[in-house]
Amino acid sequence: MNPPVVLDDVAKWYGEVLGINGISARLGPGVIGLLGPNGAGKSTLLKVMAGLLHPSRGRVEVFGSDPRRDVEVYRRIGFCHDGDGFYDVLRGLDFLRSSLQLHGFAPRQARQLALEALETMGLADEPKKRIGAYSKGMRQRLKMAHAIAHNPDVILLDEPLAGMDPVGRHRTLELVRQWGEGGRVVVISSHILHEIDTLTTNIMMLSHGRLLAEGDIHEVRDLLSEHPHQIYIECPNPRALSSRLIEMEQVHQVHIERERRGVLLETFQPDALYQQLADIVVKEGMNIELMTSPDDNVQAVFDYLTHGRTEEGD
Amino acid sequence: MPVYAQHYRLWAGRPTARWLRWTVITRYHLRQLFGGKGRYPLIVLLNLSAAAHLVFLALIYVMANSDLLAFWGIPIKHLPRVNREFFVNMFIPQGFICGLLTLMVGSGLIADDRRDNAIPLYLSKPLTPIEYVLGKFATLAFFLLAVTAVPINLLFLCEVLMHGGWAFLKANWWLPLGITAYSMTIALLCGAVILMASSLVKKAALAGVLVIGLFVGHNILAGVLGEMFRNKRLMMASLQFDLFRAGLWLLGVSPNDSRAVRNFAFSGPEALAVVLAVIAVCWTIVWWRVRPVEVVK
Repeated sequence: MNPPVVLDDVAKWYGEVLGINGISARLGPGVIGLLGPNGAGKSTLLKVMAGLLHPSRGRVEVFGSDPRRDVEVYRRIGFCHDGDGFYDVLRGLDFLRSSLQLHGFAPRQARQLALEALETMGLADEPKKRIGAYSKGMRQRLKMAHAIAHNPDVILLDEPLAGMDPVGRHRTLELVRQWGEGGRVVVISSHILHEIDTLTTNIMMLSHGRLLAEGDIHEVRDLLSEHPHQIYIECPNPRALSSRLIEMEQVHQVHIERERRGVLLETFQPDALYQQLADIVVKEGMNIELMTSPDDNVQAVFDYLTHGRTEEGD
Repeated sequence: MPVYAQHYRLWAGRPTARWLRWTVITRYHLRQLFGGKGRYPLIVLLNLSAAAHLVFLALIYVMANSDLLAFWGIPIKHLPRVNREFFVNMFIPQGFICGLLTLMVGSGLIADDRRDNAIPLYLSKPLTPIEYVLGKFATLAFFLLAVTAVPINLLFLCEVLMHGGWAFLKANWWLPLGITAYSMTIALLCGAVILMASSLVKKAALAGVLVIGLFVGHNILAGVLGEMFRNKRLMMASLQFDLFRAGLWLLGVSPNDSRAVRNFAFSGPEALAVVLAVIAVCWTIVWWRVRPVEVVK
């Protein structure tokens, strides 16, 4: 069975400017983080998936149809675009209701779904407030309500967290997680990598319009074999631990961080090292308070893939 | 590989008919126009249009009762005869009102969406760019046909009823078709020009200024060309003349019937061809502008 969204060697140029190039991916249910710095091509890729842009090369299929040719497939796509496009004189409820009628819902059904979407996004208290009087965060939430109101299978969210306060961000991330767990395909773009880190391990990383990596972040990290894995351990006696670690053949480097009572070690064989560490702890009764992997996250993988050359702000 | 069960519920109802979906845009704009402060000038214009039609209705009534007027000794020789040219003349005051309605209703139809970056909101729905433009155009066409095709066809009906006998209907049975076709031509031209202007700018007022500029500009150009080359056919460059000439032809006014027709140095089909070409160019520009293409600076 084909996954809901298929991208096959997709490229998009704006004249001589490259938007995206040679992107192939198969996106199934769950949350997929679309990551990359500003100008990486995230918005272009989402618009191509949403059928708003025609790819210069390649093929896009959503549920087996090209959205540029079969507009009925839009009934199954919810798109939250990065712009701030609203009619300020309209009320939130009217905006959603009209939008749902364009999706083919009868007026009564449209009103009911609009109210449900406002409720989901925490805007139900003020359905009759004019959009012009909405705060930036409320406008973002209204955009998301607009994307999900018709219960789509595929939700494409372009920088949905921009302009939201911390409470709004937390609430939105929770909703996105629920939509993904519910079996929808949710593609969420962000240039703030740690936001996505808390949400999903399934990522697509873009830079300069090219797909750098796709899949589970931990698997991607494991494939980067030229970069040793980092493991940070906090314990009451870091000096004793480090002298024990240096003896191990799996350990590549050890740094003692006295201020934090910790040891940062590097290894090319993390699985074997974890096993041996467990043996040390059990046999020698060593007390370990914390153990984390600081480079097994989105930011670290992205830095490795781009060799630290990010284009932030371009 | 995680397993995802589908917990969400898709809507299982029957969607509204696809071919009617764009009417949501039209209904929305009509509600906005009649619900906002802009409705007052709109109502004034519609009343002016109705007043002009009432004058023509009075003339039809007077001419239908010309025997009675003659009996009372009231001179009727200066009153116009109710014929095909009479119906073309009905379009003259309505043409002016159509122009004002076009500016008032049409200027912001696409420009406001461009200003608010709202075009992707429409096009990320089961709606093609053509349906989007159709919904916008229908808003303007509603008003333009409401002041031309509908009342003028009703006036034709009044003339048939007041004329006594079927002679007028037999001689002019296709006139309602001509009136409708001419009204549609006016609506298509006005819609194409204003939507083109509206799609080129992000401010409704600017779109209005652009259309006024085009209207004044091409008339001056036609006059200058005509005088410079001493060639009356060059007046074809004036859309105003083209539209009037096309109207005379569509309503079947022959050179024998009318001095107005004899004054033109070009034929009705030629005039209509120019109008249709302008409509085609304008719609092509609208189509090109409505595509949701990002601009890379």
